[in-house]
Amino acid sequence: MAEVSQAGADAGAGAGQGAGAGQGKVRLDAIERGSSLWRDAWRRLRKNRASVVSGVILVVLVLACIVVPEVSSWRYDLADLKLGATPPSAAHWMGTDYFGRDLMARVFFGGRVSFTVGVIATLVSFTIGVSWGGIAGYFGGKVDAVMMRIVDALYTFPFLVLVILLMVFFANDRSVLHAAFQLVLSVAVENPKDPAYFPIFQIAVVFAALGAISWLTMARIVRGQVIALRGQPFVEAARSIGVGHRAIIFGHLIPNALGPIIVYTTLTIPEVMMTEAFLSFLGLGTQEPLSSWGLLASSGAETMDLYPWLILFPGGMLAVTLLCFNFLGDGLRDALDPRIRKD
Amino acid sequence: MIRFVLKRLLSILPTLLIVATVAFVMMRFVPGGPFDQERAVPAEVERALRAKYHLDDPLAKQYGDWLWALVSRGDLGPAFKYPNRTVNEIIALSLPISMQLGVLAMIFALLVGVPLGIVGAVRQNTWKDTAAMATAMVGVSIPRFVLAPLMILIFSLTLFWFPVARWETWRHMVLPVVCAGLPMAAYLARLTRGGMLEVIRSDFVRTARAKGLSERRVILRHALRGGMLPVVSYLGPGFSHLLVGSLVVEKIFNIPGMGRYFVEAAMNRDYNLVLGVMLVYGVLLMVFNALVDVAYAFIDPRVELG
Amino acid sequence: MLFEVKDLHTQFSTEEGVVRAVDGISFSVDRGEVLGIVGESGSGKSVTSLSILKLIPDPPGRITGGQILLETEAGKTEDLVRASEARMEQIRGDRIAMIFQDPMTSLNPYLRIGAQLAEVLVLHKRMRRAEARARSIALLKEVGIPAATSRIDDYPHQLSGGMRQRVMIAMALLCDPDLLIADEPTTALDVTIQAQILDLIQERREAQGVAVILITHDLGVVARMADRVAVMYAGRIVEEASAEAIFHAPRHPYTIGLKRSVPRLDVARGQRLSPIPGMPPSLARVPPGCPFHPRCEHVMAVCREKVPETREVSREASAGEPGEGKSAAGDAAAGATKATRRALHVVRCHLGDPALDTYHGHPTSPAPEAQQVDQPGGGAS
Ligand SMILES: Nc1ncnc2c1ncn2[C@@H]1O[C@H](COP(=O)(O)OP(=O)(O)OP(=O)(O)O)[C@@H](O)[C@H]1O
Ligand code: SF4
Ligand SMILES: [Mg+2]
Repeated sequence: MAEVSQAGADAGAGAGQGAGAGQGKVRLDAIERGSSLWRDAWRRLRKNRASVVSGVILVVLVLACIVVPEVSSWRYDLADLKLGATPPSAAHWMGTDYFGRDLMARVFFGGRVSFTVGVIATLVSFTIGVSWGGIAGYFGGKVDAVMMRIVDALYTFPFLVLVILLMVFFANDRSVLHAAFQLVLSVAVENPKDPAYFPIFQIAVVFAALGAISWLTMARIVRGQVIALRGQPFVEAARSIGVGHRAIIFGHLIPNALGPIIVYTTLTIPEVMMTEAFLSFLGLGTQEPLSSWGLLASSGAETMDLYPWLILFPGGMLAVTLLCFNFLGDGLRDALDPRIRKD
Repeated sequence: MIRFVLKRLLSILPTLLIVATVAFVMMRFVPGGPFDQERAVPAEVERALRAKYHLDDPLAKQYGDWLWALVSRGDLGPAFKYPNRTVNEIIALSLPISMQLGVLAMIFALLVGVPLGIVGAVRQNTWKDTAAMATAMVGVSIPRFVLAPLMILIFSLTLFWFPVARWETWRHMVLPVVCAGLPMAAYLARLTRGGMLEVIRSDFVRTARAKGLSERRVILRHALRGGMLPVVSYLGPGFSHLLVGSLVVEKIFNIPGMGRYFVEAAMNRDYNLVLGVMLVYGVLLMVFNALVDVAYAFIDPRVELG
Repeated sequence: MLFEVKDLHTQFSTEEGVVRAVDGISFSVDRGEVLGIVGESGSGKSVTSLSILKLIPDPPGRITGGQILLETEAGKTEDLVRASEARMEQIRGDRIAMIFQDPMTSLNPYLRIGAQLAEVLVLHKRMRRAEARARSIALLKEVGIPAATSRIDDYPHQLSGGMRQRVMIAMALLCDPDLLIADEPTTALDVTIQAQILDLIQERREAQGVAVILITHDLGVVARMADRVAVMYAGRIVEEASAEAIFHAPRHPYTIGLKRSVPRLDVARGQRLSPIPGMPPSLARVPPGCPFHPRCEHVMAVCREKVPETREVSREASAGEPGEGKSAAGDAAAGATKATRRALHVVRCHLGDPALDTYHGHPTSPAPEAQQVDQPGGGAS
């Protein structure tokens, strides 16, 4: 008994804030089932060596991206033209670039940008995808048919082509979006026209564009889950005591579908990071003097015959990060959703 | 079946029209034109250029002219940034190169990825499976713009096996094709393994075994078709990923394919070229998707083309 | 004896531990005989049948002990447990054929049924394609498929469930197997089709003397088809006897419970059905002692420690009618026992010794234990 109430408290804190006191009981059985599911999943995940190692590496990398640029004796944008490009040495562990800037500081600073883009764009995609799929799945019928038809249609679209156009046309200082950005900015700062803010604007466009194209799969997954759950007694019970649609979808259904959502979110992050790097590589994403792994790799690629370390370090960091996210996502899928386990 | 393909091809026309219209409008409404980045161009020259290319006409008229030229003569108009060439000429030169790259890369991906996935599934949880899938995971995680420089460093600059750039003999093609195809091969390996595992566990494969068929025959004759279905349905989106991937590959290997023109044109606001390339991409993708649907129906008799 | 299983063990290693899905079972079937295997879901019936053909997925499963003895054409016996995979491929489909439960999923949806049938003949009988096709059409006609000549080019999804099961049966019979294993061949079908399919199997048994292992959880099917019946619980055979004896003089409390939980036409309506309380155990955590003890209404303390010894007694020697009271059914049972006078039956625990208070036959069990009778499951938790 003690265990049950404990589990109830956990899940209540985690998920159903909107649920009133009366609904606690209604959801008990679902929660009880849920908590042992999480425990089993955790146990399974810990047994998956590749996932655990990946998780640890990711944590270390994120910490390094936070700490290294702060404690490093070199600033990421401190140039030393006399020095120029030098291979890794005791002073510059990853060497320096053409302008004599310390590559290690640039790589870890770039990591901040890459991770931030990954996480924020994933949040955008998460929000759109979960709402879209939740609403379609919950209401079913015509609503569902129309919403999912839209998703299907968008699926066949070569989205990156569109993103490239978007980036070209909107991420410049004369676009409508930029004007809107300055307007918003003017609330917060004194001189919104300062060009120093322009890179931030550009990154914001990247977030929006990436988030906007990567929500489709999430919508499908959430819809499937919600359809499977909506016939369950606890949903009926909640409805019968007058819980509204919105509270049912976001307070009851989505929390119970968290497993696949978490898995897919974990897999979206590397995808988005890869896309950001791709855009930066084409010169359409992050811009100098900021740095991101894609941008660093891009400029490194141009001189790789002379200064190979300029591509190896940022490219390697990016590849390792993506690899870890993918292994972690795979492990999470195996742990959280034994049914769709692929081995 | 021929009727189905024709119907599908006809049905893409409205979609193409919408894509073209949206892209057209989007490009004309945003600030910045093809000629205003070059500071050196004096005002009157720019005016003359704009007049020459009818950029001062009302938008509706520009759109109508453009569309009419396209429909009546298949003419995509002049390329602003390449004064002596039309969009048609540029596409005629660059499309075959991109198609070669794309098709070769896809063949490479299928030849490498599918057998790898089958091995993984058939030898499930053995070291072969683990090795194949770890390799595939690395493959899907390395971006092409990291892979390509790496391969150039190793195979061109150190071993001198293949040239660094351009698209002329088969030696030039090896590295770009591998770079474009490898991530897809890795993804296909994972897809194939998943699909095969599902089928291998299915009742009808058990029936096949109970008949006394050898494992080889069970896999090749009974499991493979079903296991290939996820792969076949991925080929549509996969093709579009490949197009995007070839943007990077063409840039790194300095290949004069359509992808390079597209990126350059978008940055230069070369309206006609961007529109033209997008339309070609659209046609390619939709034709390819129709073919994939046919292939799917060919494999799975329960699917009816309609 | 055509076919004999001795002390077969099959295990699965799973996350929850080792699942002993088949835990030391023995039975035999001879030509022209139908052996029924009954038991609740999860009792290990399908694992038994897959073990016979060595089709247990490995990993996680493995046959860990026992013998599967098949009489060879030359009249010797061969142990399939030790047979090579190549040898098994010769046996499967040719000497031992199998019909699966779900005709909807057991045929390959991507191949025409003609191709699926013919390949068996090409493989085992070295027939040419045309010959194999002709024979397939003939068999489809024999199993009652109308317009077989054109149906043979259909895909499975173009056939109804009953048709598909007929195709499965035709496929199994193509090579005139000596042993036919039918794993719930009718569960997925509706009642009329069910009867037709069973008739078809019965007919084959009579016409060709094929031995049949008929797996089902439907006692009605068993009553109709089987000569002898083995009752499985938690991976073991708890009682084996002639079909009449199982029906009219069941000995094991589990068999009695199974019988009581089936609606019967010959018993006055209004008599309550009483399903066996509780659930079958997870085979990863089989209760110690007699695995049935948490659900047994005759449970005694000793049952939780060990399974009663197996003793062979004749049904006569234990003539008391357990479970049902001495009613009309009891008289029928007396008749039935006479009919099987010659046979010695393996009865695991329930000797029906009238000297004991219950009809429980634990030699070691003192009578007072019977007090616990009415607390099924009470001792388990
Ligand atoms: N592949 C497997 N992996 C792990 N355990 C298995 C596997 N196959 C079967 N089992 C275990 O073996 C037990 C017996 O299963 P089996 O399919 O033989 O039951 P059954 O008597 O045929 O039931 P039903 O009437 O439902 O068909 C199951 O409880 C299951 O736990
Ligand atoms: S009486 Fe004892 S041994 Fe017999 S079935 Fe019941 S529990 Fe098992
Ligand atoms: Mg079964």
